[in-house]
Amino acid sequence: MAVTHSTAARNAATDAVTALIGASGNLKLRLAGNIGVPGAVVATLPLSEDAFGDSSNGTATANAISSDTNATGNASPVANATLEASGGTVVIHCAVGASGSDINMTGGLTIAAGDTVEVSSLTYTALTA
Amino acid sequence: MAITELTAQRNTVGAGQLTTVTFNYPNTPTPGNLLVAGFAWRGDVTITGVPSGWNLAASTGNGTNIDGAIYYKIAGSSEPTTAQWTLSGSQKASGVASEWSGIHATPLDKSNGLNGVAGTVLNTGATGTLSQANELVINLFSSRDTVNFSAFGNSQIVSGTAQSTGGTTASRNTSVLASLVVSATTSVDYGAQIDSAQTWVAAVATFKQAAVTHTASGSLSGQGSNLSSSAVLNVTHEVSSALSGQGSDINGSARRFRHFDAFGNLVASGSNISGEAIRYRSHDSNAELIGQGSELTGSAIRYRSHHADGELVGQGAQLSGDADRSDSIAVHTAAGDLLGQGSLITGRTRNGEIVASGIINATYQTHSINASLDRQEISATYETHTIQTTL
Repeated sequence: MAVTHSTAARNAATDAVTALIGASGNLKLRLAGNIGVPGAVVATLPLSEDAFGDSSNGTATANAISSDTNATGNASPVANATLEASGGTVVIHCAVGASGSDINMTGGLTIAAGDTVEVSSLTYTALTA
Repeated sequence: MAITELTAQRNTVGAGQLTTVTFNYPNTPTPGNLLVAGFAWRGDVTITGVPSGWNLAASTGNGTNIDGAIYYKIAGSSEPTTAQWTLSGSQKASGVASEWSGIHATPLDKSNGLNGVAGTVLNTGATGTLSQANELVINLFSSRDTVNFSAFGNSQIVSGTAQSTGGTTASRNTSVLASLVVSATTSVDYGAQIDSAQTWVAAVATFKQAAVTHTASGSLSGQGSNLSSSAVLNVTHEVSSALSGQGSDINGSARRFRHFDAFGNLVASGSNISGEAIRYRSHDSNAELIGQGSELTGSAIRYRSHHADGELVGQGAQLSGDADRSDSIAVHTAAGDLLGQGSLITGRTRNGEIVASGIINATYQTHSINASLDRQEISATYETHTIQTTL
């Protein structure tokens, strides 16, 4: 039988994770890698001072994320994204794809230098109900 | 969006002795597209007038014999079809202009230019490493006299060739505008060949591909992952993974297949590995469960052997196997090392042999091993804890 968690517990877990991002974090789109050895950075999008709002029903919604209007770019497609603290400490590592992924992106997965990358919505849930 | 030349917009200038160089686009340019004009002129004159909005991208020349330049502009709304440059004196000029789509709003990246005397091979000089992939490289080659261009390096696409007119051929020039979209971020230095040695100029300008807007959105979900599968009449069915988060599950159900395995390493509390099988040859549920309250369960009907093995470290762990009508030659095993308090090993079988064994290593005496079976035998070996059997 799977373990279930109270709403209070799920909110606490989600808030604890998003708090690790701190005041000047970034969302970085990257080439393929893992949380220990992330791939090369292709685009960097600054997060708000409060990166995420307070968790509600276990899910936190990202506050405004600034677009990268002059992406570093790479000839290879992005495959991962990281949510990092200001010093570059990776807090969350996830997949990026065209569909069915953790983060889905339109406009193609290959980001050229000078491209614009924006985020329309982003949520984080630490524990399922 | 890929860079594309609107070939219908190609136009040329081949003028006699004039103080102006005038290009006429066949159609009104599309707003946002890149307009490029490359031309060269004879004699010791300079450009004194540039059409509105046009920018110098590259220029080269030897001053007294032949000079050349590449100009560009991002077409605006209601862009005129005519673009006219003014020379400081009356001279012969020739050039080519065209239009490209898919270009960046601030397009110019790199440029260079060279000139030479008494040569048959013209080259622009190296641009330096281009800033991004898929840049448009535009080259202007121009030679004194009315020459023939016999070759262009790197499979350049020629947008047009033009010759100035009037006087002797030696007083004229021949100009070519050629382009290529380069996929690599490298330095380029393209050339062209003419059929007689002449004084020449060559220039290059590179333009960036239009920026694309990528819009991302996502819902990131942490722990509580599930890996599940079901199979019918398969030879082998396997569900396996290493799930580290809390509340994770590996579930598998199978019917009429040869092997069924559900195994993994579940590190966090409350994880479960369960398998259910009917009419198969062997069924294994193996795992190392470290967290509290973990369960490793397997149930099987009409199978030859059934195993539920694991090492359960946390408190309250349970390892159980439930079997019905297994073959008499087969063994049903529920075995594990339970290290925490309140752990439990249970097994129940019909028409078979059940072996329930394990080492329970804890300071409390609350562990249990329970087994029930019909018409067979039970063997259970332990050190000090309670053994309950029902026959």
